[in-house]
Amino acid sequence: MTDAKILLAPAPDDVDPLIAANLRARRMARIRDIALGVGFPIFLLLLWEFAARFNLIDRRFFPGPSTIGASIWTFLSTQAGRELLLGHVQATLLRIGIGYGIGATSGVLLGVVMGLHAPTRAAIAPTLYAIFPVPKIAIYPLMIVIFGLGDASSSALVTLGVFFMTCINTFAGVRYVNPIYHDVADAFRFPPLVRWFRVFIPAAMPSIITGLRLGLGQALVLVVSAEFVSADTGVGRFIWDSWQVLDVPRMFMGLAVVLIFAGLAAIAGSLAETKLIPWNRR
Amino acid sequence: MTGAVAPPQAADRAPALRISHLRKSYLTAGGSTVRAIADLSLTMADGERVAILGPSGCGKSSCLRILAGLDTQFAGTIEWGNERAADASRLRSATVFQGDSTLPWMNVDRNIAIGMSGLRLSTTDVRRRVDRYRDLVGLRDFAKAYPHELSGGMRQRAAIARALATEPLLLLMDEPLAALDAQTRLVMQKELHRIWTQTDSTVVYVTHDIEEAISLCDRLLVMSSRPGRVKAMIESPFSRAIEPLERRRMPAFAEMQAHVWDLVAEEVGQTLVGEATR
Repeated sequence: MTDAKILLAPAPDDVDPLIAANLRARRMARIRDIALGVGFPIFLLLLWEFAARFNLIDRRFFPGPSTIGASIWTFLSTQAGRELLLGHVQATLLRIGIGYGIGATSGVLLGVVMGLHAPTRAAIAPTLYAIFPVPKIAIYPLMIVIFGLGDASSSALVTLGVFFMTCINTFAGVRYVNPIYHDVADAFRFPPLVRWFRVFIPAAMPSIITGLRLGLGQALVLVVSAEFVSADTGVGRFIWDSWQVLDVPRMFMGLAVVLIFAGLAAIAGSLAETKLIPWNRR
Repeated sequence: MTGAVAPPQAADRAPALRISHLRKSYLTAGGSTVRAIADLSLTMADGERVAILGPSGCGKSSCLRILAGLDTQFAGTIEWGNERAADASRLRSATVFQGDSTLPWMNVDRNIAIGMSGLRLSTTDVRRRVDRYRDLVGLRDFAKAYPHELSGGMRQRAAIARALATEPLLLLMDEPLAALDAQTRLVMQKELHRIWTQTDSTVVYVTHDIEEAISLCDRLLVMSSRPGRVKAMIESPFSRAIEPLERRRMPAFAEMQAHVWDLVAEEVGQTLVGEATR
């Protein structure tokens, strides 16, 4: 962020022409990179639009972006349409919120304990690593048996996915902390609370945040999958219902909502990185 | 050390540390035993500065880790100057490590303060010590700076302030200047000399830089190659007050350097001599 500010600021008048040229070159490179990053998805959308217009793809399933945009606009311009979509969005957000909150908290806690306490690690690590690769959606039937259809079972599934992601990343972060920090903590006889909260957890923070970010992505995948199968509400249900009645533009609207969720999650993740681990920026 | 005839009051200053017949063996990952230290004895007076020199793998770092309390698996005895050891406002030993050991998520002041977290000190006392030692190492203007905003030399100054702020009975330094460039190293030697004088520190200084050892210390303990034992104990001809750069200009410096080098070179062995003089 600081870099961007420096690079995009106009060069003062009195600088050496060589440095000014250098600054200009860097500014141009940065503008070029941003333009490419924004331009590529626009290019893909145009390609899609072009293919749809000229019947290169089946327009029944892949109407062009302009057609989809127009029908989203029509749908959202009615009070009923807005309320319907908002209801689904709220249902999904609630499930993610509950599942993520429980899963991330318990995952980080157990990860830290495993990282610092050898017996806990010896007891739990093999089981954890054995279960981790199992696709969580595969145990959804069991979740339904235990928690019933609807909110509770979807949230439970999200909890599980987020828990594994955050726990394993936190554990690795704490376990493989730079050994010099252990030496400092021992040599200076830090009390246990100082060790935990001011040395090892901050040292592991980059991994913890990676776990939290991956967990959020996982939460989104699982909640939509669960809603496909069992819920009456939610963005997943909205997409699936639209598909079943072959209302393709509405289905794409659901996908767009998921895309927005993912974008917001990515922004939250990078904000967390700059706020919580400012020393880790490269 | 053999007879208990001399009463302890006879000494000018009480011994700060007495290491007797320290021995240390490691178990390697393969299950075999490596003897790191065969026999090491050392008595240090309060305020004394002793350098431990020796070839790589002679056990000097093992010795330092034992003194730092990082390694409790050893044979032999270590006695500390006991009347102040019970004081909860000082650490028995504090270490300055070879690599960067500052905590990157804390600014300089917090890095210094956290070193005292194991001591029983009031917040005002912690504050006072942070101010004193941060200024002493020359970081007054960088109190709120984070390690990634500082140079390597400045980070090492912060680590030194952290160790000094615990007002340790024994200050341990494990090649603290090894990672710095040659100019910074010379400046830091001068700084260390000044800081030790101002704080009246008792120092064990591990290094393999002979000139640095002569520039800074009162006595040089030369260790044999593995398993390490005391090969020689050499008294410095310089009075403690003479600072490093001055010592380098005196004829006695080159003489002592040659003498110590001969002792070390015998231990390093042919192949390593080749490497060291390359």
